Amino acid sequence: MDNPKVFGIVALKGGVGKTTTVANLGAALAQEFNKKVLIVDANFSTPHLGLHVGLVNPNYTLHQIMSDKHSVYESIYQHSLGFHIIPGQLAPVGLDYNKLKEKIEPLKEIYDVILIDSSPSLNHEMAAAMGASDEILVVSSPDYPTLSSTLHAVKIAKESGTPIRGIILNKVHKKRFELCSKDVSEASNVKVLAVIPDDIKVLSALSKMVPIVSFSPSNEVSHSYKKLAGSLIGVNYKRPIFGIKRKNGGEIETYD
Amino acid sequence: MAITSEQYFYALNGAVLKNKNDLLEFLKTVDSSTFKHHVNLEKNDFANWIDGVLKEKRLAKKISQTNNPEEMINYIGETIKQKDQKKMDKKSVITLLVNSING
Repeated sequence: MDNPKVFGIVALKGGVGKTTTVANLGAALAQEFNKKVLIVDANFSTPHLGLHVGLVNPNYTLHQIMSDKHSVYESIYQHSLGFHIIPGQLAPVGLDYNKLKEKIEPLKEIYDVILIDSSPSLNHEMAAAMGASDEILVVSSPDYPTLSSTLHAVKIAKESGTPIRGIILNKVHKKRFELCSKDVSEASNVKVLAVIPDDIKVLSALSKMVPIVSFSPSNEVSHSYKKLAGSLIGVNYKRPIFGIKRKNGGEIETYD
Repeated sequence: MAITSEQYFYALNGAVLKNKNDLLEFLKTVDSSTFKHHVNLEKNDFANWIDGVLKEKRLAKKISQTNNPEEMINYIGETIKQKDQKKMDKKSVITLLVNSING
């Protein structure tokens, strides 16, 4: 692959939308930009990426790859939306997290983009995800507690030596009381790559275990994720005048 | 809030209190007999002043329920701290957060 990239998606706080971001970027890169994409659940303690894309209780997981029980290729699932996924395992086991980079690295021969979902805790799991990544995306939301966690995550990321591509400001309501992207970028000294609005449809999509970019393609959240996906690979996302709508990630129908 | 000199609290020991901060400092050093003059079984001058002049009903209620200067200091200190926190603007909070992370 020409210039394949591994992005580590991190946040030092649960609930900011890290896993949602991984699932949607994966779907957007595959569907909208025809990229070969692999999403990896390296949130070893609380792996839920599979539940965002309809993969429940998989037989083969990253945990088994890390334990050398299976080859990395045996644990790759192909999703109907076009991306591939290495899921995590709900029952955690003790692992040598440092192996993550050596397990992921050969896959750059196959994929254009690899997205790693990481642990929301400051631990070896997060360090492993950062170490296995070429660039880091920090997911945040526009409130003080999350900003505090984001500043901490940025500090850790900088110390890891892996470049930070930028911050994704998620769950934005565009209210005055919220922090704006300028507040976050100035405090962290890191560019805000994308502002993703909050929408109940994200939860609705999650209940169907389908990324919102597929569940509701015309939604603002979906356009924001697609725009971000395009920027990660240096392609300008052109918002369609007339879109297509997929139902539950399957049937396609036109709408006006 | 601004109050007039008639509304100041004139303590038995000669101290003149103009606001909660003054009362807080006063309570830290007040002698027992002055305190008992203002807070006893029949009255609680501090609670009445906070209620009637400073118009802080919630604090007044707390102060009226104690005859312990230490507790009064804690109650008043808490409300002053809360007020200071409310006053902080977005920029100040962000600066504090940045400083706390970067040491």
